[in-house]
Amino acid sequence: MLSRFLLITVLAVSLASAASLPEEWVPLRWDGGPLEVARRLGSENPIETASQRGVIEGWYAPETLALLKDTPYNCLVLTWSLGRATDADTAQCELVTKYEGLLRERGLAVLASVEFGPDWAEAVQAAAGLFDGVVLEGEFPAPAAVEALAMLRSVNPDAVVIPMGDWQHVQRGEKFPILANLSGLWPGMLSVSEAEEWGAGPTSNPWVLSNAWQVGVLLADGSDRPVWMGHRPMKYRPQPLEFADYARAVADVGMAGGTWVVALGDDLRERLHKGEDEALDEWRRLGEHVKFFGERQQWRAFKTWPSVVVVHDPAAGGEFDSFDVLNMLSVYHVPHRIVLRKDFPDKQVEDGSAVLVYDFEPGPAQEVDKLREFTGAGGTLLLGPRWREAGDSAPELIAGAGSIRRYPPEEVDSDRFSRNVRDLVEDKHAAPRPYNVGSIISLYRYDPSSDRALLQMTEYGDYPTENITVRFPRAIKSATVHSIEGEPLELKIYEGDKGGSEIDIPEVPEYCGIIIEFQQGDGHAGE
Amino acid sequence: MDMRANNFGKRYPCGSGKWTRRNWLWTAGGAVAGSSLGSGRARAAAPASPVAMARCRSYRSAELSEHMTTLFDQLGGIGNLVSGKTVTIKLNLTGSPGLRFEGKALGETHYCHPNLVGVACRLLSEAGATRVRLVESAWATGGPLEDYMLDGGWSVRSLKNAGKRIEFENTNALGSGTRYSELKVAGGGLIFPSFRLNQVYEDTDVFMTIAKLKNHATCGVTLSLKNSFGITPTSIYGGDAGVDEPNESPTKGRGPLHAGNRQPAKIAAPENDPSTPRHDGYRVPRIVADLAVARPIDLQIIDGVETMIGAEGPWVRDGNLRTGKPGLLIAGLNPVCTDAVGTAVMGYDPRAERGTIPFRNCDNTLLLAEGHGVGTADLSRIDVRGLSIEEARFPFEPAPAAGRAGAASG
Repeated sequence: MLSRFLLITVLAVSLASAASLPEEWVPLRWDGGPLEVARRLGSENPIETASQRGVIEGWYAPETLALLKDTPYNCLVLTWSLGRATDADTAQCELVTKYEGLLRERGLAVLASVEFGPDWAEAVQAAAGLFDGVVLEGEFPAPAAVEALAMLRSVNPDAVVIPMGDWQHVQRGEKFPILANLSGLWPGMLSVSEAEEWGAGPTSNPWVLSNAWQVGVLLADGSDRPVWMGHRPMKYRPQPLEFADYARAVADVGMAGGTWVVALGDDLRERLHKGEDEALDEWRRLGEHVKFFGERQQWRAFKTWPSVVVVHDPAAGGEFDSFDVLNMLSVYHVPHRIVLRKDFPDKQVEDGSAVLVYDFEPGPAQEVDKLREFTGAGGTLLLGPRWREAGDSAPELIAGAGSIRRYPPEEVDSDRFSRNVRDLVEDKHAAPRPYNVGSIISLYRYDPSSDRALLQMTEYGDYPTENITVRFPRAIKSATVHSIEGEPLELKIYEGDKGGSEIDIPEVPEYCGIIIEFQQGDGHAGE
Repeated sequence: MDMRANNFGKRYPCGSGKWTRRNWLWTAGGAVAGSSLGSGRARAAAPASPVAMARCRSYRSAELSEHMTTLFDQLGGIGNLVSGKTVTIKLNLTGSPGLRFEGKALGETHYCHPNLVGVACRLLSEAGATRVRLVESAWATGGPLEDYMLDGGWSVRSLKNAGKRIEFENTNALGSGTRYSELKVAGGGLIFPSFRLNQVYEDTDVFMTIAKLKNHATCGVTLSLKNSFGITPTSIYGGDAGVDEPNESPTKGRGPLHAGNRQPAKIAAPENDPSTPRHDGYRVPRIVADLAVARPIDLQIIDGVETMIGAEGPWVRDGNLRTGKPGLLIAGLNPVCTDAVGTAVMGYDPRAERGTIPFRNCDNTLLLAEGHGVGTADLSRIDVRGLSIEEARFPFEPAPAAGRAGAASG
C-alpha cells in the first residue's frame, strides 16, 4: 500500500498550513471519489442507484468547488483511507491531491478521513504534510491516535488529529483540539409504531431522538474545546433525507453548543450535481443554519441552568440507561447541568439544585462525605438504581436538612423516572416552564453577569408547533425571539402568577432562541 | 401489568381477542338481567329528545358562534337550562397532549377544539350561566387542567376571558375539592353500583359534554356517552390508584376499568360482580352506560368539524387512521339520542348488535344506556333538526380497529 501513497507524499513537499485555527473551523464532510464508493459497497448504507454512484465517484472534480462559494464551511473532510488497502487507493490519492490543492487556494482547511484498519498508520503517514490533519474514524485506540499525531507533527508541527469514533471511543486527551463523536443520530420523533418497537406504551408521550445530551456530556469536560457531532446513517430516518432533516440536525446539536458535521445524503448530492434550483436553495439555507450558530458564539456565556446537577461518570458503564435518562430529562424540559464525577461537587452545585447520581454505585468515602455534606446543607439528592443495587454495602446517607430519593431498580423506566424528577424539582428551582412542547426540546441557560437568560427550542416533529406558552417565575422586561430564517421578534409580556411573567411563542419552525431580560432587582433564585 | 398474571385474566385473557362461549353467555345474561339490551320494551320506554345538526366547515370562532347559536335555538334555547346556573362542561382531551397525529393540532384530530369550547363558554354566559367549569380528567396527571391545556396548545388566557366566570378542574384527582362525591347508579348498575368522582360532578346544576365525532377501538364509536368514561378519577380507578385511599398523584390511565384486573380504591364501591368477563368490550360499554345514569348529561355537543377517523387517538395501531373533515356540529339534550344521530352520521346503525360494525367485538353502549332508560337510540323516534342525517352523512369505514376491543385503551 505504501507505494500508492508514496507518489503523493513526494509531491506534497509544501507543508499544509491551515487557514484558520481548529477552534474556528466549521466542518463539512465532503466525501467522494472511488474510495468512497468502495466504502459504501457492502455497508449498511449502500448507494442505491448507478447515477448516484457516478456522482459520488466523480465528486472531486473542480466543478463541485462552486458549491462551497458563500457557505460558512472552512474545513473540509475528504475521503482518504479505509484503513486497509483497496484497489481504489491510487486513483483516490491522485484525485484528492489535486482537489486538496484547489481547496487550499480558496483558503480552506483540509482534513483527511482515515478509518481504523490494519493500514491506518501508512495512510496517516501519507497524509502528513498534505493535509492540515486527519480525522480518525472508527475504533481507534487512544495510543494509536497519539501515534498518529506524532507522525503528522514530525512533518507539520501544526497538524491536528481529530479522533471521531463512536461513543465508546471518544477520546478526550488534551492533545486533540476537537472533541468529536461519530454516534450522532438523525434527530426527530419516532412514530408511535416505531416507539412501540422501542418499548413505549400505547398512550405514552412521543419519543424524541436528540443528540443534545451527547453534546452536553462532552462539554462537561470543561476544556472549552469545540464539540463536533458526526454521524452514520441510522435506521430510524426515512430516505431520502429532506431539508428539514438536515436543518433539525444542525439545530439539535447547535442548540446544545456543538457543531453538526454536515454531510450530503445521496439524494441531495445528486440533485446538487444536476444543478437543480430547489436543491441549490436548500444547500444555501442549510449554510444559513450552520452560520446562525457559528455567529452566536457569545451565547456560550449562558450557562446551563442547574435545576438538576447530573453527576456523570463516563467510565462507570451503564451508559445506555444514564444517557437515556439524560435524553428524557431534556424531553421533559428539566434544566440540568452535567458534571463529571471527578469534578463533583466543587463549585458546581448552586443553592436549590438537586443532585442526581444515576449511573454509578457508591464510591470512595470522600465522595460519600461530599454527598452527606450536600444533603446536610439542605440539598435534594436523587440516587439511581445502581446505588440501590449496592444493597447493604451502600454507605448510609442521612438526609439531614435535605432530602434523599432512592430509585429502586424496578423504577428504571427512563420516562417515568424523568417525569418524577421533573415533578420533584419543578417548584424548587426557579426555572421557566414551557407548555405545548411535546415534540420540542428546550434548553434553558442563564448568564449571571448580565442577568439575562437564553431559552432555546428545537422542533423534532415534522410540523412546526404553534401556540407555545412559557411561564417564568421572575418578572420579565423583554423577550426577543431569534429564529434562523426570520427577523428577531419582540414578544408581548404577560403578567403571571406570583410576580412571574408569561410569554406566548406563536411558532417554532425548527429552532428558535429567545433572549430574556429580567426586571431589575428581581434576583434569580438558585444562582 | 400483564393481565394474564391475575386470576381474572387467567380465565378471560384480556388482549387475546378471544371470545369464548362462556363470554357470550355472560353478555347475553348481562343483557337480559341488567339492561334489556336493545329490547323492544326499552326501546319504546326510553325518552326521546330532539337533536340538531349544522354544517360548519371551519373552527373560526365567528362561524362556530353562528352555528352554535342556531343549534341551541333549534333545541328550544338554552336560557331556561342554564340561566343563573353553574354549568360544568366535560371536554374531550384524551391521551397525552404531546402525542399528535401527523403533527397536527390536537383539536383537528382527537381533542375537541379550543375555539369551540371558547364559543360555548361565551354563549352559555350570554344565556345567563353564572359560572362555567371546564373539566377533564387529564391523562396521567393530577396537575392543574390549565397546565394540561397549555400543553395542548390551548390559550388558557383566551378561555378565561370567554365568559363571565370560567373555572378549570382536573377531575383525575381531588383537585380543588375537599372530598369525593358518591354518585349512585339508579337500579344498581351493570358493573358498578356507584362511582366516586371529583366533587364538581355533583356540585353543578347543569352537566354538559363537548365530545368529538370519532371511532373508538374499544367501543366502536366515542361520542357524548363515551366522553363520560373520563369523569372517573384515576386516583381511584387508575392503574396506580391507591388500594385504600386515592392516589392524589396518578400517573397512569384507566387500564383497570378496561381490564378489570383490580378493584378501585376502597373509598369507592367495588364492582357488583367481579366474576363477570374481564374483557374491555364487555366492560367499558357497561361502565359508560352506568356513568350516564350516575351523572346524567344534560346538554351534548359533538365536534365533528374536523376529526380523526379509525380510532380515538393516534396510539391505536393498525386502524387505518386518517383525518377527515365531516364539517359538522351536533347538539342535543339526551346523550343516547345525540349519539344515535352521531353514529348514524358516521355511517353506522346505532342499533347494531355486537359483532356488527362498528361494534366488532364489543357491546353497543347506546343500547346499554337505552336499556338503563337514559334515552332512545331509535332514530325513528328522534326529531332531527337542521341538517338531516342523509345530508350530514360522512362514512367512517373502513375503520378496522373500531370496536375490535381486546386491548387496553384510553
